[in-house]
Amino acid sequence: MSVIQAAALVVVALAGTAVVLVPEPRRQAIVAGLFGLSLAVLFLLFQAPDVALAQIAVAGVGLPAMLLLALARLDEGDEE
Amino acid sequence: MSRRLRGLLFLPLGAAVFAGLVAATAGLPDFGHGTSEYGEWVADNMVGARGTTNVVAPVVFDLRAFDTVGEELILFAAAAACALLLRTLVSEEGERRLRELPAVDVPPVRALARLLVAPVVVLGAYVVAHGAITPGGGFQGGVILSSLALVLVGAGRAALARREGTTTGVELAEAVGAGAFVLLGIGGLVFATAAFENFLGPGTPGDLVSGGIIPLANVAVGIEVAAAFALIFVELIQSGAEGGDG
Repeated sequence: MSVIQAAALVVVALAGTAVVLVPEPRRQAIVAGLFGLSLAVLFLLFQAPDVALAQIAVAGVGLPAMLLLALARLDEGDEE
Repeated sequence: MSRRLRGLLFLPLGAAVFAGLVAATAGLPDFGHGTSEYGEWVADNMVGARGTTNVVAPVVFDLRAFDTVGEELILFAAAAACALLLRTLVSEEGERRLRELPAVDVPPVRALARLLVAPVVVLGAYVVAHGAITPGGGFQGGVILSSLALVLVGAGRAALARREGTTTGVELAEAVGAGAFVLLGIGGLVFATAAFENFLGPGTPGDLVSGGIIPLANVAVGIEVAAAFALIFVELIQSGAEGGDG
């Protein structure tokens, strides 16, 4: 395992922990997206560019957008 | 549940999961070792046999295309279920609120979103079209294309999401994409001997159109995935505007 691969593993572990430690759901959605992007870097370094691309698309676009839209809907429900 | 009780519950359960993970990974080959025969065979043969320089593509869209149909239909069902659950009967009050939903009006966001429209389309189409040659393909490019829905909302075009024609168009595209992929599978039965058999010639490896049915499958999946994700985004945006009822 090269140094850069080990570094990527550490970054993923830190980012994953950060997601759990963020208390506010909106911020958590964004941090979860960043965690997913760090996973994409990991996949690229472990020679899986196809998976890395899918991860970028899902973590960068799909997951945070769906979380934020769902949270927005829940907030509107609270106001009524 | 109190914080203390949660902590007490977490400790043994977390320890059990951790022990399970250690036990599960203990028998794995060492890092960098342990290639599978299947993997070696695919890497050695697919460029010649299928004309694809990205050997992941023939695994997903040719050798194991039947699995991919299942995955695609899961996404199709998920998007349909999302629409079914979120689309309530729109009351007059809901309709009024939908019309009055404020457009995104943050000038920098608008400007950035407008700049992004063309690059998103080009990048998505590029990733879909080059799936057989370089990493990427229908799924990855499809998700990129679906983000166009979000970009348009950011550009102050939320009204588009509210127009009835938009939803119909997105639904139609989703059905066409999913249907086209299934038709490719049936094509194998008609023009060759088995479902999803690659019934077109491999072409020259590295060419944009190479790999037989693989680029076609990429386009079909790209349309389906883009429409499925866009439909989920649009439904969530619409239901958000109608105000929560649950």
